[in-house]
Amino acid sequence: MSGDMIQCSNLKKNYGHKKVLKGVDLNIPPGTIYALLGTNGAGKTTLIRTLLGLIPRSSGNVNILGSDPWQAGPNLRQRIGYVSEEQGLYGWMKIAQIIKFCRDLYPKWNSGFVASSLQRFGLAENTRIRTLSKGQKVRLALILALAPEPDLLILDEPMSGLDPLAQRDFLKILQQDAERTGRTIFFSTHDLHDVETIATHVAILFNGRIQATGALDAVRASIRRIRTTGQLKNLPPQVRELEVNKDGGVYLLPAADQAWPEITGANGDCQVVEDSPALLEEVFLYYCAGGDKA
Amino acid sequence: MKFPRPLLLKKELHQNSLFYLFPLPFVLALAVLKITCAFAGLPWLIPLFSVGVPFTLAVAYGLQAFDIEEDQQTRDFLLVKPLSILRIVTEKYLIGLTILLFWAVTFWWLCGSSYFELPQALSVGSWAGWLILAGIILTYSCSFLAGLWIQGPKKLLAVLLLTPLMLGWAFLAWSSWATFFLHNFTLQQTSWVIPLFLIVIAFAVSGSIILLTFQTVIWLLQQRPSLRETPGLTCSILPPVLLLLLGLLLNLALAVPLRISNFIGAELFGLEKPAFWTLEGAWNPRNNLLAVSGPNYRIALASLGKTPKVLYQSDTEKKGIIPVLAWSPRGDLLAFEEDGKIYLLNTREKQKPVWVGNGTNPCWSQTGEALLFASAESYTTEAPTKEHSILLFHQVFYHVDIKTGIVRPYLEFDAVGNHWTWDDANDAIWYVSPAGELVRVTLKEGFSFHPVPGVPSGRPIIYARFYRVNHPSPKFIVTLYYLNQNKRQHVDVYFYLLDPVKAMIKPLHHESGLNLTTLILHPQTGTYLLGRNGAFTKRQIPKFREVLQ
Repeated sequence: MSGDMIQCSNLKKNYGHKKVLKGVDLNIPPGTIYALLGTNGAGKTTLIRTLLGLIPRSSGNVNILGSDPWQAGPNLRQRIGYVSEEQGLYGWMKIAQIIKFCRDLYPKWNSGFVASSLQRFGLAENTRIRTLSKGQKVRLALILALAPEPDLLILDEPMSGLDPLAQRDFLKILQQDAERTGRTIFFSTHDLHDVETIATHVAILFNGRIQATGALDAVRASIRRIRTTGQLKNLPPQVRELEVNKDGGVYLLPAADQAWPEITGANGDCQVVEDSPALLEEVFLYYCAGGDKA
Repeated sequence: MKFPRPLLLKKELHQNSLFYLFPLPFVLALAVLKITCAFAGLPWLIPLFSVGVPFTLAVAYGLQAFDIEEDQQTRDFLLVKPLSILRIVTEKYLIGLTILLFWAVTFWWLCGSSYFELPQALSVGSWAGWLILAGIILTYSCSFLAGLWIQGPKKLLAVLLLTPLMLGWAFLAWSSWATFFLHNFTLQQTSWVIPLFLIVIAFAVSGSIILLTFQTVIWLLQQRPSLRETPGLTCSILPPVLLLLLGLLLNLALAVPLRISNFIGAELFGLEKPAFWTLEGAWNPRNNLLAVSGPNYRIALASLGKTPKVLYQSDTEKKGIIPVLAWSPRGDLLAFEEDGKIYLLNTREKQKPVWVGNGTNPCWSQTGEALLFASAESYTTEAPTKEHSILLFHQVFYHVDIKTGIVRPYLEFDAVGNHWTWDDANDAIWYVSPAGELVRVTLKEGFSFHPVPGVPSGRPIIYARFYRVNHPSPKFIVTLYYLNQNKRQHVDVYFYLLDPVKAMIKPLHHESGLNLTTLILHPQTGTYLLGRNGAFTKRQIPKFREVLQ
């Protein structure tokens, strides 16, 4: 779709013989808060770094804000804010120094936002960055990423290692910013709570491929949850066994799947006692527990 | 939009401080040497440290331009900023080049024979200096760019090639310096603090380089994805420690016996390595300047903390050594003998030495108002057979009045001897006979010869020196050199205190079996330098001051 903030098709990235991204297709429309959900080692960081042009892709197409990030220069990077898991702030600098360092690089800089945010989070400008806690560093990195008022904000597991209070704080900032500016936010996480709290859209990355993508509700509704009175035998590949006990079983399968009556028919006296949309956690489990369609 | 160059440069300095400051301990060590030991030798260090090491460092800068960012996890933060890669690399290049040039110039200055070698080279008024500078900049730039270009699998190969090079530089520098530090002191160096400081620096620097090198090798062998993962302590520490111990043992083996100040000889005679056979030296009685002489009729002044300065060089093309140097008691005039001629040199005025006569053995009066030197004519006594004839010397002593410059014959007598000294306060002349007798010639009562008891007789003396001591009372220290009976070309040296009034001597000290080419005594302190091939060992006459009292 033209006008998407991020477009990538058949994106592949190899490290030597190791295939990390095996053909990612992703379109992120403007104004969305898009969560990239994946297990550890799924390739989330590689995908984000490829999208940002920090590493070259092996093949495929990538387009961010209308440009190829690997070829683009400073003009593109002026429009993108980025916070990585490690933040990468220079520990020897003071907060005031790193603000000056960044401010001088961008044509736009919202000094009012920076001042009010620093005050809100209790960050003194003469504090040395290495003395900050993990939570304070993340907040500072987010302030620095938002201050140039980028069109696109990309976050790579920003809340990793934060305590629940700091996580809540961080999500609040993001939400408020999105409501205020309508900015597109693309963030990676493996925490389902983060996704359900703020994301409007979600993409599930597993084994180097996007397994599911779209609006959060649509993705959630893409999988059905079936509870039966007995254990089913000879399951077709699109059906996942979630839980089995003496009272029966819980199964996940694509919502659009039409094969269910045939399966229950083939398993004798098994009866469906519950048929409902799956929870996000179950959707994630469905796709990440052998859901590779490759 | 302002470009944050100062902060970006500051960032570079902060992040690469280890690399940039890597030569600092070397510079400190050289500076200490330059200031305290008048270090001006080792010219081969100039290309090593102004080209070799910076070249290696420049490649390393290029190779690791983004590794440190990677290591400190700041790479992504920097690269997503609206800065072009070219600009980032340019900043890194500029600061690296500036630092490398700074170190190169510093090394050039510290290792050069003069204090202003590079500025001189650059201000010669020709293109040569600028071409040299341009060549260095070009070399560094190409090295940096080569390092930057070498990424991916080639990087492994480059690091593997650079590692032994760096290791080689470090070991070469450490080894030569440690040897140098162990072997060299200033002539009057009494403290071990500075040499120990230098040795510690050399150890620390080379140790850290070797440690880093081994860590890199281990990292490469283990194919670690990130330098953040450090190898185990044992495999990091053990190999460099073993190497250092090996180097230390090698150096200790080379450093026996401990040698002092051989660089003075090298500097003085323009040799890369000290290699001269004899060196006459005399301490100025008024300050701590040592006048030294050597081949090609040269005299230099050596003093603490300064480059030895050539004081005099003969115009003649003859090659020879000035055998005697004699300071006037006031320390302003230096009398010396060159090829049978006696000269007087005023060291405070830059004038040519004045020829005062032909002879040997110049010696001063106690006040310094007159100089005496001997001129000998040999003849053979008549005898029934040639085998029984005796070679006699007719000694004529000339008196030089320093105020008027008048030179006149003073006295003459027949005697076989050498190493005359003038005891004008007691109107006497002292000398040592070939038979080993210390003889006083009194001049008041005609010429009477008085052998002084107390000196072992019967052993042929090969050399002797008299040193005047004026405090607390006028005395002489006599050094007598005998051939060692067991080792060929080795000597035994005896030190005596001579009371010229009582004509009595007192043994002070002796050294046996010395293999030396010169001995220079400081008569006020009892310190003496034993020299062999330009290297010196400093010794002390025990309880010297107590004995003088």
